[in-house]
Amino acid sequence: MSKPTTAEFIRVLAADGFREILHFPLWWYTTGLMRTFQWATSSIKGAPTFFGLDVWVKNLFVPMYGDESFVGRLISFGVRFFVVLVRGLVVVLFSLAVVVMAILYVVVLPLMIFMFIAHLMGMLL
Amino acid sequence: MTRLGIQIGERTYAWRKALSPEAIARRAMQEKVARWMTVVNIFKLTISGLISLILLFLAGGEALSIAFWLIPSWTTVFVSLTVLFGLFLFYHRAQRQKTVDAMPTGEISDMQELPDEGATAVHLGELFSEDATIAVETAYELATKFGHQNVEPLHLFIGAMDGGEAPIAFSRLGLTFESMQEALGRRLSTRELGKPTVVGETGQRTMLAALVHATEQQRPHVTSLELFAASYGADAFLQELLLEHGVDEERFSNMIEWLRIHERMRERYDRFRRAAAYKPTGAMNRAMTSVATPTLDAVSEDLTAAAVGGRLPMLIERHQEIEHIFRVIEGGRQSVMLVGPEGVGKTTILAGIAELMVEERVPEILQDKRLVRISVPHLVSGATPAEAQERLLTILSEVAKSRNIILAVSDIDQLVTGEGASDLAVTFVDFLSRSGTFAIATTSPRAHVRLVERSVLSRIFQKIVIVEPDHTSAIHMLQSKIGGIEFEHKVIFGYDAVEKAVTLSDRYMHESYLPKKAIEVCRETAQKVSSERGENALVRGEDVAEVVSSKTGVPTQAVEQDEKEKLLGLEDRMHERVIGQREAVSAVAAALRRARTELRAQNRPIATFLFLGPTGVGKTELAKTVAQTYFGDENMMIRLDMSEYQAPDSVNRLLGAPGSESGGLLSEAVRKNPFSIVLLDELEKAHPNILNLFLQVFEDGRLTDSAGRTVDFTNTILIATSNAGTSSIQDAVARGEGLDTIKTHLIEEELRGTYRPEFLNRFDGIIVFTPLSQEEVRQITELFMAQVARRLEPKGIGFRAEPEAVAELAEKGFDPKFGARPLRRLVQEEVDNAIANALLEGKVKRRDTIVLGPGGGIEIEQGEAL
Repeated sequence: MSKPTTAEFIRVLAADGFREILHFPLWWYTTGLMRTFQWATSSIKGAPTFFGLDVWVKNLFVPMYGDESFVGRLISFGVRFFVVLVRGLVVVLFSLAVVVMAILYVVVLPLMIFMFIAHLMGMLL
Repeated sequence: MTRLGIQIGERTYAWRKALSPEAIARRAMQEKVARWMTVVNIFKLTISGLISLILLFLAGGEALSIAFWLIPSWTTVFVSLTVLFGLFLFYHRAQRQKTVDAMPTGEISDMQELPDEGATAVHLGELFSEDATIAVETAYELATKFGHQNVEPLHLFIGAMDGGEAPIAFSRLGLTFESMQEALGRRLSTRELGKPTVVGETGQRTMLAALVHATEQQRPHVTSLELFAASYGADAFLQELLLEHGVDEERFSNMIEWLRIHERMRERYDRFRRAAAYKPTGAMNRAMTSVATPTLDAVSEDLTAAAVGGRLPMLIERHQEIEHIFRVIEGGRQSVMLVGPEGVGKTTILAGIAELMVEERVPEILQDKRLVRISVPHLVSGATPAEAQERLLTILSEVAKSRNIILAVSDIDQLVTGEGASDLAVTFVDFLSRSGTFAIATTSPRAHVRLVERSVLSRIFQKIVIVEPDHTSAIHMLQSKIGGIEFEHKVIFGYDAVEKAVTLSDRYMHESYLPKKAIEVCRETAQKVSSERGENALVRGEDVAEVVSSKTGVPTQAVEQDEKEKLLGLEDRMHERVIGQREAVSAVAAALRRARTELRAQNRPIATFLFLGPTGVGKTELAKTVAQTYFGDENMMIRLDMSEYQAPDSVNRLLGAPGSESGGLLSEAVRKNPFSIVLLDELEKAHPNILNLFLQVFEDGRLTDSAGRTVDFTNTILIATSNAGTSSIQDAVARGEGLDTIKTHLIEEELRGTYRPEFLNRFDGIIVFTPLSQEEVRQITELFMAQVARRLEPKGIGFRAEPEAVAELAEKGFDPKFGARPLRRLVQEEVDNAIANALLEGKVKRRDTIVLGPGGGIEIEQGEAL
């Protein structure tokens, strides 16, 4: 089998490099976008479990620390309600952050290309 | 060319791409180019990032204003460029990782020929891992080098040996490529020649089989190991070649499974670690409903916390048992009791449940709970029954309050104290039935029968029997442990060692159970090998056999050269002790050879013989000789005088009285010494019921004693002696009849009244001992003289008998009725007494020699003075 020469190697490197650059935007808005979308949905779906919100909601009326007395139940409900609110807020904020990042994914590429070209032109001209 | 394909789910798969040297070179170059591009991309990003950082540093506080980012500057140019390079690297990496397509799922069809060259089929190579692709390319290169028409399983087999896991499988199987090179070369030279080389039909079948295997095993892609296994399965030559090196199909597939088990354990570990991050390890559950449980904590171990900490063994196989347990728990919140002998893995099943609880892959009723194992000895230690009960009550109330605890109780039979109301089992059962909670307990079958079944525990616990794993499952379980043992002792296990550990411990160690006993044997062997041969030594089957031998006293190693000679010359060695009886000796020697080379049936005793003949002709002596030769000691013999078992109820003496735990004379003796000779003297005197008992032993190689334990007879040699038909033998010998005629006459006429034909038929050999001739008695006398000499040796005194004296003794001691028996008495009376007198009179000193002359007179030859 013939061994590829260095010149051939450089030629393929250049050609593949060029093809990869051309393919980049296409990938970004097809496969890449789909993956980002999947990542965002699974992160948002998993957030309640990750932050323990589901467990707390499920046990909203269950007394904490096994204290079954009326006062215990009342305090417990109050505390649990508060914790659920806080955790719920955290989940919402987290989900918002994920959405922002997903939006950022969509705009970052044209924004950076535009910024790079515009500023380069501004500096050179 | 035929294009074969296979449909899995919705899609069809086939090997579609033609292989060519150019294509292979191109792919190799693209691989290299891709690696280079990663380097270039990282370089670009680093340089541009550094410049941006310097410029940002120079810009100082200005960079914090929005206006700064709107006005063109070199800083903004480089920062935007850096971000672009970063995005590009992200894309580049994602592209590189995408090399393997998602594996198909769904129903797998049969292989079939595809129309129009399989134009719509997915190319199989897309699912191949890097090492599998290289294996195919190597196979192709090999085929082109030899000018072969087709790439066949043989080429793929050799190609797969190039990298990946196949070489590991090879070396663990104790094989080397060099040892097969010649045979493979010869085989290669017989392949069909032609150009251009293509992937032939058998090659395509092999690759598709690899895909099917990978799909069935839910592998993330097809690796070279699948190709390796598939090519072995497709080529009868390869199977024969490996068989010649001692690797049969079962061994090969178990070896592949070993590598799979390791891979699966790694995957499970990764998944488990991710899940474990969510599981609280303290007393508090995620929902914070539980309470502190100080009393419980003092006498228990939190299995879920131990699982999170990675301190529990991983459960292999046993899916059915776990499913069964979950079904019972889910079905009616019922408590379960795992009943199985020590060592079959009840504790490991508990560990498996704890691990599943950590991952929360359990029925809802077990979720967000912890599995806590109470130690009964801890609970009752240093406490009066009343105190123990109080402790238990405190613990149970803690469990009830905390609501997140599932109790596990190992050896729950220990709770049965049998003291009425203060019985801990009663308290426990009462708690379980009132609180609506449940527990998982374990116990052994014997304890279950003895204590649990008759106690209140049986009311609330559903019994799940955990049986000893079969041979293959035990091998897989052991394989999952080998990694740990190898790491601990710095040795490497060959497959042969693993298999032997299971086979030999199963066959020879009957007091404990698989897989534990095999694991212990492996641990011991690893320790031994590492101390003898140092780090990274290979543990072979022979090492395991040696350890099993030293534990059990049975020769289990392969027959080596000097032993081969010993076995072949067995008759001569036995004749050193047994005079005459040629037929008897060679029949016994042949049986021993069969046993040692493992040609005997494994589910019957090693051999069963009926020795017939008059008294004093060497029947017992031959039995002793067998014990000496095969078991290494003439005392490895269980001797039962059957005249003591004439009553119908004597079966109870042999097997133990009904209801007793102590076992019987025979069953206990064989249970303690499973490798011995069982000598049944004067069998004709035993009660017919007892003969029926032995009928079963001869057939199945086992007996069940009164306590329900199975006693294994497959490693015993059973010898029954009988005097029945003695006079007929003596008469026939006197008439000069041949042995065969005598035997036929005995079986057909004489023994009919004593033994049933089916009983006689079960013996491996019925051996007739003939009365001793005058010459044989003389030889025996010589043996006795040698014994006298041996007895005097420690005193430093020599002994010699003149030939005339020997002849005289032989003549005097010969009795056609009693064989050599009177001779022993005679030697005692005439020789031993005379020597004793001489010793007492002080006539004999050290270094002197006593000479026995005719007429019983003894002379002393003075030894040399110092």
